[in-house]
Amino acid sequence: MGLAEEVLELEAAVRREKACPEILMYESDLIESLIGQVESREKALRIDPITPEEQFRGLLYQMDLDRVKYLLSSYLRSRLVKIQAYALWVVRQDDVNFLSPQEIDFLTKYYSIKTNHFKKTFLLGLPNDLRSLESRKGQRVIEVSPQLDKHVFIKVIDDVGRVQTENSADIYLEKGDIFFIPYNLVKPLITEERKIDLV
Amino acid sequence: MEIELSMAETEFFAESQLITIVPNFREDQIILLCGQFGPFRPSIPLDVPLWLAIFLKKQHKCQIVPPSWMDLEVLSNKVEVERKTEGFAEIDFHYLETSSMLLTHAQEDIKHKSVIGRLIQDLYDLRTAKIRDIIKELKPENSKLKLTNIAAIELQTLRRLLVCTFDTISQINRKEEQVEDEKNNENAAPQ
Repeated sequence: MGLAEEVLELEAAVRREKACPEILMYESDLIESLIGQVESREKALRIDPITPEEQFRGLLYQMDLDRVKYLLSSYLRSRLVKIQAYALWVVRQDDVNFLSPQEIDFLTKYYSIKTNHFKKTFLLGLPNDLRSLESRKGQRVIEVSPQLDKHVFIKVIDDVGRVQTENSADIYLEKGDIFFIPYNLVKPLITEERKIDLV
Repeated sequence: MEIELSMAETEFFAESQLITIVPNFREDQIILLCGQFGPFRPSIPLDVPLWLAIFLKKQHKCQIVPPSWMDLEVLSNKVEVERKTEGFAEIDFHYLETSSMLLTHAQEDIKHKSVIGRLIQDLYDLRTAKIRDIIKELKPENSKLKLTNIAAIELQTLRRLLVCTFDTISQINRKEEQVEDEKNNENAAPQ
């Protein structure tokens, strides 16, 4: 993938992450490559421009850089918001390979701060059997988990054809179509086959 | 904290689309993260991202060539087609953001700019009326909507309303199921 395609892919990743109810697989190759590019360019830009031409080019480089930096932070921040919202749930997952090492680190710290705070402020004042933050069988689930039946807007990138739905008429997805649809109906087409994108 | 896409971000994405400019300066090729552009030679048209075009315009370094759909004739046809078709007529996904940015920053490059502005407004009004019809027809049991050719901004205006409404409906459904389950469990339990 060329650099320009990477930037386009990052734009799509930002839109996807913002619209998706669950935390998607961390785009590790894409993000690491672009962070590397941004860092090396920032270093190069530190040299003071002398001539007006250099100043002009410098300004263009800076604006381009700022846009990519905004996309990167927007991507990472959207994920952090979801990690915080679903912290109690994510911690209990067997497999957290969808997070980056830094995100796992953040999650661990966030979880311990949050649970400590809960203990100090009210959990210790409750009867013994109500103190646990883990939901046990037969009890109401207390953690917030991603709602996979949340509705999303999708754009079809590649012809899909018929998609079966449980209780109503099947739908046909053709390239270029835009639908408003429950996320779980088309989830594999977004995360695995990449024939559909979230908009 | 809100992570939902904002109108400003929609405009940001519109700004990375390419547009043709005619530069009036000389400059070598410039290698940006989002692509390689140039070399810039006076009077030789080339494609650059919209954000770059508007920056150059503000510095009086280029003339912007409006996209083909912003042509007077094309646009009046579009309005007619929009009036006749039932769904949304095909149009640039970022037509509102692009035209509004160009009408603000590159007025002198757009022929018949006031007519163009009015036609865009007509188009938007027609399409918004269709959106209102969609909302009127919404039914809780039909949770799938085909919105092909809807534009970015129009989608934004629908996003919050639709997502909130349908999510609340499924939340209520879930609660009902939960209450049912609990009732069943209680009945099943020995007295």
